[in-house]
Amino acid sequence: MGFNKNTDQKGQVIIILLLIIVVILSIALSIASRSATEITTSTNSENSSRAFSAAEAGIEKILQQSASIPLGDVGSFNVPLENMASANVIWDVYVPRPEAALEYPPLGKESFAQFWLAAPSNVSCDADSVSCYGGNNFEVYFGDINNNYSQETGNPQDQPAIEVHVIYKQGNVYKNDRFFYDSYSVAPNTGRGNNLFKGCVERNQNGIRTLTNNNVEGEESSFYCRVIVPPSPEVYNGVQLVMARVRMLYSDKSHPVALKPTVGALPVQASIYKSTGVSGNVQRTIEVYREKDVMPQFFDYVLFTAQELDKQ
Amino acid sequence: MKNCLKSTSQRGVSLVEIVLVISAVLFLGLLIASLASPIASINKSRHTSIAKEIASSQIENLRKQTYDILEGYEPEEINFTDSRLTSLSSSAAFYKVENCPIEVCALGELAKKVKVEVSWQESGETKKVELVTIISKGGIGQ
Repeated sequence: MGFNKNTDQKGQVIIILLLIIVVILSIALSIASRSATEITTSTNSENSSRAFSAAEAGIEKILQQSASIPLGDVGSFNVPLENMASANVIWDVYVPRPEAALEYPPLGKESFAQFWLAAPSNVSCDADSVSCYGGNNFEVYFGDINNNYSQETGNPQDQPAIEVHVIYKQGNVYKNDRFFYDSYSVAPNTGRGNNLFKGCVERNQNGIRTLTNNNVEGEESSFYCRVIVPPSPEVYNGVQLVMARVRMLYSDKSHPVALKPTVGALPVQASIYKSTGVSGNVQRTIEVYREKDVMPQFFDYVLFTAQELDKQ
Repeated sequence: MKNCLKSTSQRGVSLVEIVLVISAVLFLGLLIASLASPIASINKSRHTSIAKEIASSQIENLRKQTYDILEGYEPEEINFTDSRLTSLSSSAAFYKVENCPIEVCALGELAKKVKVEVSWQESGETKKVELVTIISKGGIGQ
């Protein structure tokens, strides 16, 4: 019995040693694998930064050139940089596509959205009336459906209202009109606080879907409210619509806005520049959407006249 | 006879046991020694990531400045500081604004080539992260 005990004790040393080896081996393997992951991540992250800087360089260059690139033109160029990174810039997509709405990214009270209804290069529509919008009214979609506008559980004060400033040509004279809509109510009701704004033609917290396809063909977006400008289409019979500018009112939140033709298509008015930076095996892509010839912010508040102004 | 055999097995240690123990101890020593290399790699990766973040944020800072101010910076290397540089040993950081090279800006674009470099010491060697981009007049962030 004593002999057996003695033999067991000797074996324990080897077992403990083996256990220690197994523990240290596990630690070593986990550190080695973590080190391999860290090195891969860090290399990819550095390449990613280089690729992103290269893609930005490509966008900077195309923004400088964009003024001289006519709408509808197609092209590409390469930007080689010295730190083993380069960028490839292409421009071959123009928006809006036929029958699709032109959508602006969310804008707040301090900003505006401008939509061309005549071709930017041919505002009078004399030379080529085909490229100008032929309808006498259009639809405007607006409002972010991700906000809860419920009277009981949400923030109804965040429901946006819009001002639509329409510039049109009647004969040889350019004129303008302003229309106001409030998503606070559905037509024929007017907006909040007796503001006399028109209500939405359609309003839905779950979203009114419409084809926007700014980037992807067949892409749809959702909006809270749909209105028709002008409310009575006969107002613009026999005139050529030139431009519509939309501003957000009331809401402190930012809201998307889109303008959709009721017949035919809007003139092509914006280009999408795509710059892909490459460094190592990492690619980063930046897309910039640039509208042609946007009038400055103060344009809506300037009085234009061919005659002298009496300032008294 | 029986007693004699019992006594021999109690006193001696077999050759196999000795070889096993020696190889186990050697293996253990090798394992511990080889741990140093992955730990150094992890540190290097961490330092590279910090340097990359410093360089990226400096490029963003330069983009926010007006083109006229950028023109005033060229062509010297200008050192800059960042609180994260203290995490890197013997670190240095600079940016350099140059005219856009002719192979990039062949059409005479109003643009500058901007290089940001962050360097530090790691195991007796100098390591660096270098980002290069173009900043143009009226471009991103201006």
